[in-house]
Amino acid sequence: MAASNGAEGLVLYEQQKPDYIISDLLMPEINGREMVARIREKDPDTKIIILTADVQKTTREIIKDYNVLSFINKPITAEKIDCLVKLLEEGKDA
Amino acid sequence: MLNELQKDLLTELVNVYIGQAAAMLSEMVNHPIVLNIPEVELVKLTNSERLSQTYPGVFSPGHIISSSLKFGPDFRGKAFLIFPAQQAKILVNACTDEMMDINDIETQNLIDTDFDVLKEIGNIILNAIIGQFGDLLEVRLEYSIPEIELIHVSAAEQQIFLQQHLYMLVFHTVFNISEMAVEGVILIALTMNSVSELINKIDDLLEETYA
Repeated sequence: MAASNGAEGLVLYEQQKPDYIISDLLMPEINGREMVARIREKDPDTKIIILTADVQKTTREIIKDYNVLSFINKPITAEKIDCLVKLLEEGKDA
Repeated sequence: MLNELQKDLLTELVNVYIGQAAAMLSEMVNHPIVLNIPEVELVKLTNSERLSQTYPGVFSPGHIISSSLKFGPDFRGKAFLIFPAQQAKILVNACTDEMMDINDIETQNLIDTDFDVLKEIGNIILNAIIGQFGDLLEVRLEYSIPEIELIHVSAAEQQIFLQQHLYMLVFHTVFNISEMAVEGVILIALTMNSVSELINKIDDLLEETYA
């Protein structure tokens, strides 16, 4: 399932309680950081992967505080998708 | 506005930043990208009419694609990635792996989904460059949602289009994707304070180098 912004993402999260969330940071309505923060308040265990064009070192450091599974810089490539799938499968088995 | 040493150092830094942006573009189009060393200028807006003389391929009257991103708060401005509309189609096709018949006008027209692709290309490339300026200046930058526009620019409108800030940092470069040259310009419109901050940082780096 997909959401087009952070507000929709929060609604979907409440309705579906997904095992994994892949989220951008820069989004309309509610940004990714705010969305992740609100999800983490309710659920420290949902696995979250951040996919973003933001290359700043400070962004990585801030997002670490939210205990995300992975932080991936765009563009997304076949190689990165392979790594992501492996990560998700390891997470499933864990 | 910049002396020779400042311009040289800024060009060196921009060369690295654009190189990294080009590496990302290469991943998107799945082709090697060859690019020339960017020409870097810091232009005061009253001189911006020079842009159309210096970069006629991009700034001559006609259609351009402008992908843009605002950033701030401490280092504040707006970054634009600008291509002539016809070359934008080459970029989109390279990303989506579509063939383009240069003799077929129909296939050269941009469609709705092309704008989504161009918006994301702009988002990735501009983030790659502006983010590094943020790290250089040791400030945290926040961004606006990226925008994409197809603009018909008449000679008179060029000034209005650019007329939001006083200073413009201009990087002109040509990306060569599979022997197709895509000429683009990256403009970073900066406030006077942001220009001062950048020049101060460059001077600090020069002092460290020559101390």
